[in-house]
Amino acid sequence: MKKNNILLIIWILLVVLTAVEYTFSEVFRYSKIVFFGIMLASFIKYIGVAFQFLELKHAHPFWKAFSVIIVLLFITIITVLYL
Amino acid sequence: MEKQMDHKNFYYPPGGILIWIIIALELITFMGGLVAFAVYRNNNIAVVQESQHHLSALIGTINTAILITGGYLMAVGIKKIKIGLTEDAAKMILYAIITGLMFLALKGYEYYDKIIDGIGMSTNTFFSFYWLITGFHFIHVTVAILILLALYIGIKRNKYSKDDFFDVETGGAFWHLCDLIWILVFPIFYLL
Repeated sequence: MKKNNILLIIWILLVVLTAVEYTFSEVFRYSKIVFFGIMLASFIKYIGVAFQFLELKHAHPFWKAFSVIIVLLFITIITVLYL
Repeated sequence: MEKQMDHKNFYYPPGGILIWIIIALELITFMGGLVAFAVYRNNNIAVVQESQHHLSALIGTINTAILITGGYLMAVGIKKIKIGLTEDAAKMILYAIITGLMFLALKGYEYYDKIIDGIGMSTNTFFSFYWLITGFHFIHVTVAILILLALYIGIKRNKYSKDDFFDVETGGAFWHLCDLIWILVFPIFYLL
């Protein structure tokens, strides 16, 4: 039951983050601060799905490291290209 | 009969190592596509920003929420089957399938809207990237729905239980892969 509650909290957090991303991108389109906010929100959502829904938290450190490094690399490249 | 695996073992991540090799390759492929788009955008900002006005960020946002909800339902379904609540697990997987169908319906509407406006793959490079990347993702979600449907039928036929749920975990991993990809695709095309 406790595990299901954690999943529920993560789900609410991810949906709220998505709504916040949308709202800020509509209000402050192409702003640098919003860009960083959206990248951060996307990172949190990716980690939330990978570690909680996909249960990566129980996996070997290699798979955890791979998943985090690859998304950080992606976000870094996108940031360099967009700013 | 299959017992719960030790996921701390390198060879047994949740869903098994084979699905994780697929997940790794798929993530690298989609990220490569999105980076290629970002390189294009860097040199053609005006075209990209003009083209983005033809996309509905609201539809993209709703679809993101739908996929995340599907991911949550699948995660709960896997928890349920692990503790022997197979009927509840089947119900959760069925709900996840419905969210997948909702995603496809909304995406289909978005595609229809573009086609009606005469926007296709050859309209400009932005839309070539858009159709290719979101189109491949659409195919992934379709395949994931079929996998979940097979799992749902399997559970209903007592093929899976708390002692034998490896396939369910593997199918769930593919389902979550669709979430992970979309979480990266969504801001690149719709928000930034």
